[in-house]
Formats: sequence, C-alpha cells, structure tokens
Amino acid sequence: MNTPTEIPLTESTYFILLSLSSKPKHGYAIMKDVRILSNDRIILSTGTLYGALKRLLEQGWITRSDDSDPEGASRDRKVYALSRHGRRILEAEIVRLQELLTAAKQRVAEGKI
Amino acid sequence: MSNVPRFTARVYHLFLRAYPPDYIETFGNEMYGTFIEGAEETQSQNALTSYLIREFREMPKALLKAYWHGCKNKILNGIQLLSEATLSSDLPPAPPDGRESWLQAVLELSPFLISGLLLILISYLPFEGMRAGWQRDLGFLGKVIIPLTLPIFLIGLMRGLPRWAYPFGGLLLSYQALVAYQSGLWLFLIVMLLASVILAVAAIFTSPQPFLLPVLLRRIGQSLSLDWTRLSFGFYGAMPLLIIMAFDDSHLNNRTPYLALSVLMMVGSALIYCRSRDVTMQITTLLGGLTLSICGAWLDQVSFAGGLMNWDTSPSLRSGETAWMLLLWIQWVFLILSPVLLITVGRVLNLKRPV
Repeated sequence: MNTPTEIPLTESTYFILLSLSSKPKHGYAIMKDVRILSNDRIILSTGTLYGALKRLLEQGWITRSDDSDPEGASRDRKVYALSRHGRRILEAEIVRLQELLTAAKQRVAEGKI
Repeated sequence: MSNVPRFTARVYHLFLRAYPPDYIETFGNEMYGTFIEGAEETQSQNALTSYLIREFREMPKALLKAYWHGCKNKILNGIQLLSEATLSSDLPPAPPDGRESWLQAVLELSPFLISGLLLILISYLPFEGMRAGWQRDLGFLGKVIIPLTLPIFLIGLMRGLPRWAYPFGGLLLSYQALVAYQSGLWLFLIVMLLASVILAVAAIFTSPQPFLLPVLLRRIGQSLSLDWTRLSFGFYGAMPLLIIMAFDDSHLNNRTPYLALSVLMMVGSALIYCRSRDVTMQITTLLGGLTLSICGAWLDQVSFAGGLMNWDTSPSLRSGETAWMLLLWIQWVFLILSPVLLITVGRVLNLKRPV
C-alpha cells in the first residue's frame, strides 16, 4: 500500500477518524468517544471539534448527512461518517503506529531501553 | 435545564456570532445543539462547571483557527485562480525565442546592439552640435528612449509578451524610474506600482473571479509562466541606461576603452543569455554582464579621475563615486534575482502543514 502523504496525523484528527471508523456519529457522540478512546487525555471542546470536522469535510476524509434517528432529527443534528479516502488514511496511520510500536517493543525485548 | 445552563447557553449563542458568517451558516445550529447536549449531560453528572470552563477557555483559540482557516482557504483559492488565469493562456502560441532561432536572438539583442552602437559612436566619434553632459540630460534621453522602446514594447504586449519585448519594457521602465528618482518621486512611483499589483491580486482573493485581474497582469503572468527568466532579462534591459549613467563623465575624459568594453560585456552577456538553455547559466550570465559593465565604469573613473582630478587629494570624491556604483550594482543584482526570490518564497509558503 502506498503511504498517503497526509500522514502522520495530529492526535485529535487520529482519534476523530478512529471514532468514526466503527459507525457514523453526531458531534457530541464523537466528543465523548474521543475522550474514551484517549483515556481522558484528549477532551475536545465544541469549537475545536467543529473546526476539525470542517477541515476533514473539506479534505473529503469524512461525509456529513442528516441524522436519521428521530431524536437527532428533532434537534436538526447531522451525522458524520468516514469516507473511503478517510478510511485509507486511517489504515495507513494505524500501520505507521504499529511499526513504531513494533520497533520500540523489539528494543525493549533486547533490554536496550 | 437549570438557570445556569440557560444563561450560559445564551452567552455561548452570543459568542457563536463571532465566527465567520459561512461558518455559522454551516455549523452554527449544530454547535449550539452539541453545546446544549454536553451541558445537559455534564449537569446530570455534576461536572457542568469544568465543562463550561473548558468550552469558554477553548473558544478564543477555536475562533482564531476558524478565521485563520477561512483566510488560508481564500488565499489558496486566490492562488489557484491566479495560476489558472496565468496558465490557461488566451494568447497566441509562444513564438520561438533566441534559443531556437538566430533571428529571434538578434531581435532580443536589438535594444543592446542599437544602444551600444549609438553609445560608442557618440562617445568616440563626437558629432558636431552634440553638447557635453548629454548623459545627464533626461529630456534628451527621453526623446531617444521613449520613441524607440514604447512602440516596440506595445507591439510585444499585443503579441503576448514574447521574450524580445522584455528588454524594451525594462529600458522604458528604468527610464521612468530615473525620471521619478531625479524629480524626487521615485517612492511615489514604487508605491503606485506596488499598490496597483496588490489591489489587483486582492480583488481576486476577496472575490474569486479571474476577469478581475487586469489584462496587463494576466499577459505578464501567462508569459512568465512559460519562462520566468524573462523578468530578469527585462530588468537587464535597463543596462544601456545604467552604462550611460555610470559613464556620465566620459565626455570629459581621454576616451578610455572602458566604455567600449562595458558595451561589449553587455551585448555578449545578453547573447549568451539568449542562446543558453540552462536557467542557472542564464541568470549567472546576466549577473556577470551587469557586474563587468559596472566594473568597466569604475575602471574608467579610476583612470580618468586618478589622472585629472587626483582622487588622492579628494578621498571623499573617490569613496562617493565608488559607493554610488556599488549601490547601483546591488540594486540591479537584487532586481535580476527577484524572480528567484519570489519562487523561493512561493515554495516556502507551499510547505505542507499537518492536518
């Protein structure tokens, strides 16, 4: 697989994409999921989240549509989903992180760290 | 909702208005809804205060980012539009230049050849009635330069600014700059030129429509997109005028051979530029031609002033002349290299930033 030129990603972008990889979500659900996925390390504010979502939409990494859930529809909510391009970038980033981890584990196993 | 979230929701709604209009239109309602959802949930978990602190603390940063991102998008759109306006040429096909055709090379060299020939004739075979100090007479210079350069430059402009048109434009512009300098209006001229370019580019950035770019700038952009060294060649077109200025005492001296040597360097360098296919070679040649011509003028001053005016007894005159020539050289080196600097700045601005 060719490595996309967009990686490495910032931590916030990585966790947002990871959050959307399982299923489409609305804004507040993404905020909560990012917090859980990062073990409370990354707590996004509404402004920061929507700034990131806007950039990801412009780059075509995610898509935006109306919420089909009745509660969401009543609140005029939108849901965000990972696009094919976005998924490819997330996969490439995961491979990169795995390689980093493998290298580190190898050195730890050799007792050099 | 209790009173606290209702009040803060109002404040948050007020703050949301500070976002750019297109941002509010797309995300305003959604952000407000998300904020309320968060406030409701954190209130039920008794964590409302920390939630509100975080939201309002992060808001200025998010606002700045939204504006910066909007500006960056406008700039990128403007750059794209500018490059489209300059690359999608509505001009006739570019004629071959001096690299492919000797005829074109002669045409490109003509301002240097004609002015060089005139300079040598006037300096070494003085005509009857040619008064001394004509080099400092801007009115006289204008009567020669403007009729010889303006019509040819305009023809070049109509034909899509081929390479041969640039030295004519450079000579004309440098004469106008000299007139402005002598009359104390050079700063005004520079400001007017810069302001017109900046306003034209700003018009594109604020309202992305290619037709807003003036025809002259489009023509220059389209022509330079084929070969950016043309701009350097255009500035080099001022060389005949620089030589006239640098040898302005030649009517008094013993007619040293340095003027002829400087003219020869100017024409020779222009010829190598016209025939060369390598950009580095082309720019180096132009710089070399400029440097050697100015060196010739300095040697002329040394041999003339050292003999007649005795620089040794008036060191201020010596250093003044040398500093003036050095300044002239630095200014034109900067102008000839300016396209290289512009390209470098463009590359730095295009550096990839993390998402």
